[in-house]
Amino acid sequence: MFIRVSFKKVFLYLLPVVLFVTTFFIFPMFFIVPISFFSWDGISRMSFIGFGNYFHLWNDPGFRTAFVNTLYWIISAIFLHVPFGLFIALVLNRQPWGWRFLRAIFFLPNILSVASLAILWYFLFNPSFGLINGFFNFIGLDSLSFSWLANPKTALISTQLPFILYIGFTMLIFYANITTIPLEYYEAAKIDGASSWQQDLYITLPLLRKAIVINIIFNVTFVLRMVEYPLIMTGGGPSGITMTLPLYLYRQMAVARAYGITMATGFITFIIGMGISGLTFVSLHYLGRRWE
Amino acid sequence: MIRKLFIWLITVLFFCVVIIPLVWIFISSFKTNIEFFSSPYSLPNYWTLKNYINSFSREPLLLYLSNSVVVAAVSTLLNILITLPASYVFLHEFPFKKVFFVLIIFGLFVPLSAFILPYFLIVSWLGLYDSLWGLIIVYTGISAPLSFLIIHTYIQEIVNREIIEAATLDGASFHQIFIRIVAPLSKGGVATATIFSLMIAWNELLYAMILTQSESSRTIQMAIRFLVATFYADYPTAFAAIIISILPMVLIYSFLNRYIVKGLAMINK
Repeated sequence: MFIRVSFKKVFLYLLPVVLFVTTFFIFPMFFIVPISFFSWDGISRMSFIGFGNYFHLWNDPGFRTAFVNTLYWIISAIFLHVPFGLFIALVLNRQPWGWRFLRAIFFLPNILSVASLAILWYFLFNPSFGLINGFFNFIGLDSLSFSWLANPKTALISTQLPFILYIGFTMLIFYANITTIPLEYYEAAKIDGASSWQQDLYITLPLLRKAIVINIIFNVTFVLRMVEYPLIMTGGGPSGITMTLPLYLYRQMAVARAYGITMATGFITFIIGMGISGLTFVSLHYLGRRWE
Repeated sequence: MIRKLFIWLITVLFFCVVIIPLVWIFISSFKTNIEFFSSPYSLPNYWTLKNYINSFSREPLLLYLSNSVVVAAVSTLLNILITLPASYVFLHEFPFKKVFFVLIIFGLFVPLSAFILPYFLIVSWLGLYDSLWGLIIVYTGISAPLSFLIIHTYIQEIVNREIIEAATLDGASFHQIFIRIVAPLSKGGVATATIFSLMIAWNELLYAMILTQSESSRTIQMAIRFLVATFYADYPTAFAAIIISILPMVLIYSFLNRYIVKGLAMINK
């Protein structure tokens, strides 16, 4: 039973945190759209240009590349990252030899700064001393030893590769959820003669749907705020082909000082993020009904 | 059998991808520049600390580190000070309870890069551009939803509502229950939230780039960003600087990683 208290009593307890979240999460939503209809550099007067910034974005090939690349990032987050994290969680859940140690190591990249890992991977890809080309030379695949980050064909995939390091976060969220599933479910299935993979498919997976939603949302928001890999590894190049929306936003704001365009891009990014979160919730609801 | 081998192969491969690069720069940070370029993959012939000394003398790393410590510590403290009381009131029933809950955790779903210009404008209007306080309030704000969620879940689980009812019957006031009973009981949740908040503040780069400008308010992540340019062609020194920047987090992690596992279990609920 909850004890009912008056609003006056809780007001002071809630005020500070409400002040902060309103300032940083609610308030920006209200001026991001209005300013996106203006041309503004932050110093001179704002001039109203209607949908001008959005038309500009539509015609800007740099924005299109950033948009498409961001979609690639999101797709790999949802369809590669989340399933792979689940796979590792299921493996660790069988508690193989050294699983505690493996779990700790798999999570390690998440506590290191994205910037330091980005620069580490920049060095790994270095054509003269990087480990990656060194490895290819060592196993005799000299044709694969070239400047991966400078080659337009491989640059995008190379900046996306380090994303795999963050699987530990996804894995741990799944893992924490798997441990809450009562063991009796599995015992009953074992008596019915279900193999361990069948148990995972028919018992574990449906019970993990909430964790799947959380993982999709966390991964997508991570991808949508992550500037470090393209910024540090390639600077968005060669000739803009590794550009992503967050990096585009940063460039438009800090380098070009095109504030109206920054707001328009920000609004689009915001809609993509919220849209995916919303869709994920709805499909969870729908799938939940079908599975039950 | 083949399936087991396959699982092991993937696990071992992933293990290598995570750990070998870190071991590589760690070892290379003890080499001289000449030795690194002539044999980048070997163990150093003799181990030298020169790169570590160099990275401190050639760049004001100490200043950047202390800036990062101040920003991370103060924003984490503020963060706990605002989220712990808020988590407490959710043990009670009050008007618009659900609305407040959604309002506070809404930030978890926001792709934060969308708000870079609004944050820049807010911080400038407050007169905090290019100061550590600007970073502190932004970091406090962006980690508030996560800290609240962690502490809230912890409190809901650990605090027995009968204790509160009994205390109320004994005449303890709303505020006394918080200070005497609930706050001390929520230590575990606070510890977890503290680690996450420290991690976010220490590792953040995007807002550090747009909210600060001068060297005096530069954080360690900003130094990392410019590493290739500052230590051009002297990569072992750059490696030493990377090791220095990640060391505090590695230490925290190796001692407190059980709290992180607990924290992620709480996000799930």
